[in-house]
Amino acid sequence: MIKKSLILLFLSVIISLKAQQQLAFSFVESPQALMLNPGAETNFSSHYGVPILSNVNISFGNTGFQLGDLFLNDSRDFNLKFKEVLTKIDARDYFQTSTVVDVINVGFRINNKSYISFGFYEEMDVIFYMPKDLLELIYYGNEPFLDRTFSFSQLSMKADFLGVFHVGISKKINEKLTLGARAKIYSSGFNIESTNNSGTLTTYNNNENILRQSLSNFDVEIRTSGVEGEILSNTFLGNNLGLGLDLGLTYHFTPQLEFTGSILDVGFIKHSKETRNFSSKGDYIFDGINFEFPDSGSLIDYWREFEDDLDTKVPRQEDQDSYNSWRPMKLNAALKYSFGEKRTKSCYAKTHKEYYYNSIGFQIHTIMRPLRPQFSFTSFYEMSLSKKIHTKLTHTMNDYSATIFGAGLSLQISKVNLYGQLDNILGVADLSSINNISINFGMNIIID
Amino acid sequence: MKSRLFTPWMLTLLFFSYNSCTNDLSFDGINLNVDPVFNGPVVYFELSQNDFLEDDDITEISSISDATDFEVFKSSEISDNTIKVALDFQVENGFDRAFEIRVVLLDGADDIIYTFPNMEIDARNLNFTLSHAILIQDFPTFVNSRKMKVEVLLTPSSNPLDSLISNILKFRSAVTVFLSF
Repeated sequence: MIKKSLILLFLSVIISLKAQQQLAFSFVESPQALMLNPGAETNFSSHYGVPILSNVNISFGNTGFQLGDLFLNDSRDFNLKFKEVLTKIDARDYFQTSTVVDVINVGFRINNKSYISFGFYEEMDVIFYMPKDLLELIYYGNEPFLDRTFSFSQLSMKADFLGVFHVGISKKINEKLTLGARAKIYSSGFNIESTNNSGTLTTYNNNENILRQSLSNFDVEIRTSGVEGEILSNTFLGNNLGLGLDLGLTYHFTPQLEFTGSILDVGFIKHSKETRNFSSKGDYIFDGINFEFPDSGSLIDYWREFEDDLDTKVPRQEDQDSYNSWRPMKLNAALKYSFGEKRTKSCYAKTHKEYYYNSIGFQIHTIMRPLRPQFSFTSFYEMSLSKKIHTKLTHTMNDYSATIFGAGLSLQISKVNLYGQLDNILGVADLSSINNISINFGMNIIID
Repeated sequence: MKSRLFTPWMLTLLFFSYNSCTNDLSFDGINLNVDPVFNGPVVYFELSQNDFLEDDDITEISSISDATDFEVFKSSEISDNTIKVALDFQVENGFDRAFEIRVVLLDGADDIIYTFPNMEIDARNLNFTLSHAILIQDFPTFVNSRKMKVEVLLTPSSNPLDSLISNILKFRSAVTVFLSF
């Protein structure tokens, strides 16, 4: 029953997800794996993250074009390159960057089956979809595009800077199954978001006047909070708080076949203070100013009438209303098959764990984004070079590219665990041709 | 164990890690020119024979005019970056009489900034058009325009207007603004 449920869960995750990779997922030799899967297995009695350095994760990515398309050191005019990029991108393309810095991360075993971890991290996450229509409208103007409909629905972005207090538990249910959960308190430093916009702007010929401009179904909103406040201090239980939950599991079908899965950041932040929201909604058709030639002596203030009419039909509003912002939920799943030389290692409380020097598998990662989820599929090969040196090599396909190669390394030097992971190692050698890069490193003290 | 440490994968990783290359990229000389061209409707109207007749339906009115403010050039972002303005006029004259249409732009003090060429529309000319472009470098005060005034003059004729015979004069116009940032 559990197997069937897990297979169903795995299949549903595969079918429903879209995203980017996180190399550390299922790379269990680092305590930071608990942050990606609260149900990850742990083989140590406690860990203490080095403040600020226990986990640093920086990623950058964009779809639609590569750095070299704009900045390649050649003799071509930059403006020509910019026009080519503008032609190349579409409204589904996006720019994304995120940074996570673990300020405090500590964990300890409360008994043979349960491991508790807690801490605080700072996170910045920005995604900005390319509003191709509006970019072209600004760059070229509307004159070259008679009858073209410029869509405001392409305007979609979200930017967050927040602090997260968390506490989680990983509990070994039996030899096959480990479950985990992590509760989170989000504390927003700032939030800017504009999603679910709609509306079109069209210029076309008309009998009334030479041109008519039509604004249809216009509905645009920008919500902000904390932008004008003390951004950093607000991330420490400041004005705008939220709640979240992570869930995860590890299941061994056989001693060699392991499934791990997690769902992260199921939660929201309620923005009720330092909010400032802007919105506008309506329809408008503009044929120009219709002269009425009133009797001499009387004047009509046409421009004022036009502005008043526009304000009535497409009112602009600014308020300080509260709003909820959902966190970008992430889904991870991995299937790993271990093989090769079998070894035994000492673990906590004089227990021992059997492990293999090699494993292969695949993992999927999805993050829910304003327009659509982002999905990535990663196949990986893990190899232990010794009891204290573990490596992971990956190949990922996602929105950015189908040829992203990554590498991870985890070293245990006495009680100090060092790990580093780099995704898109080929991109490091040729920055001009990359769409994304992700770096993750950290230092923790692990007590077996 | 040695063979594990020096696997091709590790060598590959080291190679790429130590050969990080940004030489192919250059962030110098980035000078993005943004030269959008916007157009839109301006003034339009329809006049009938009654607009040129006094209440007695006999005495002709030789000239009528109207004006509107516009605040497009109030924005320094626009006025400082406009390099050219072009106006298109279309007139359909259904009258058996000729007309002259004068369009002028005024500043905030109602002083004339720019006078467009007079439009002389023959009787029954249903396809009169005029396109006129102004280079701002030739007329830098053009961006001080705050008001457009249109005057319609009925050309004298021995063929008087008849209030019972329906005639229409249609005037339409559009502007194209060339910007450069």
